Amino acid sequence: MHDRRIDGVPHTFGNQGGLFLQAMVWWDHETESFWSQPTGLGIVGDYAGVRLEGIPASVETWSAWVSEHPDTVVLADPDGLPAPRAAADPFSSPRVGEVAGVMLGDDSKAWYLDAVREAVALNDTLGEMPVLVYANPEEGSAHIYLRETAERTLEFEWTDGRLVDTATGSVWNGGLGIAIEGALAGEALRVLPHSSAFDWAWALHHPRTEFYPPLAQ
Amino acid sequence: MAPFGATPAAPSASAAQAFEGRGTTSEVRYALEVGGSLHTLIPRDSIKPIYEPTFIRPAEAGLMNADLVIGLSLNGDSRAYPVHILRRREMVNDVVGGVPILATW
Repeated sequence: MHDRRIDGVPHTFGNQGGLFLQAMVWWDHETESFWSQPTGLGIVGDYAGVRLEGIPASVETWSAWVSEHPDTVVLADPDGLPAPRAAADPFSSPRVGEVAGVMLGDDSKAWYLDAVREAVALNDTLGEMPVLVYANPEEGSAHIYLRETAERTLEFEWTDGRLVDTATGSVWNGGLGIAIEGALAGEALRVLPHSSAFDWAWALHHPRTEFYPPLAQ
Repeated sequence: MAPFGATPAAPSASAAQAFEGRGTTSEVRYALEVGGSLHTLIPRDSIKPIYEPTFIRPAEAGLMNADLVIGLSLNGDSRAYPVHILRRREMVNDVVGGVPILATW
């Protein structure tokens, strides 16, 4: 998910119908520059070297999304087709190599979803920044935050089916990054935009990335 | 520990660093020349982006609990983009909570 403003001016993006480093290429209607999806980076044309700002968004099950956002609206299908119905639960087993990746300044890191789902809450760092990586234990979607408030850096643990910070024992909603009970009730963590990708594709577009767990040498 | 799967040849380290180096047009061009090539496969917009999205209430959407959506909430404006639509159309130009956004899959 990206902000499609460049220097404050909205731009319109289409599908170039090609691949760069195995990933989708966009074109913008204003200059017909080409853009690479995984990084939001202009690669050819007037905007080569310009990066669109990422916006935090998450892939979730419908039930998880609507329970936390009851006033949501839903994109209407322009083709008027019914939703396909698959028998398998998509979260029953994470696809091998699936990661949630974050770019922050010059640093990038990707967390394997199977490892995050096993831990539920991971206290980690990205460059100098303290990061919480959380996976909804029921449906597995990843949420990534800066784990700090104005006053302090926090560490989190998943205990008795609740996400708590170890400093105050406050209880947090991991899907929203908001403390719902305890001394920090009402505090909100900053959400970091992340991308879902396969490890090899993430590494192609972020060649200096780190992974969690680290790759064997 | 999931290993890397079969992957196409990666760019050389120097090209990769140039591509990653946020930077200048010349760096990006260099990366394109030596690090990766741009393949055109099908005509522009033959996978049709959604340029003028319309939205419906949850009760009209026919979604089931386990269906996947990309959820975005900005300035009190919450929108769900069903993944099965994004798989077919790949891109949505939208304005959410006053912010022009691009949703892609």
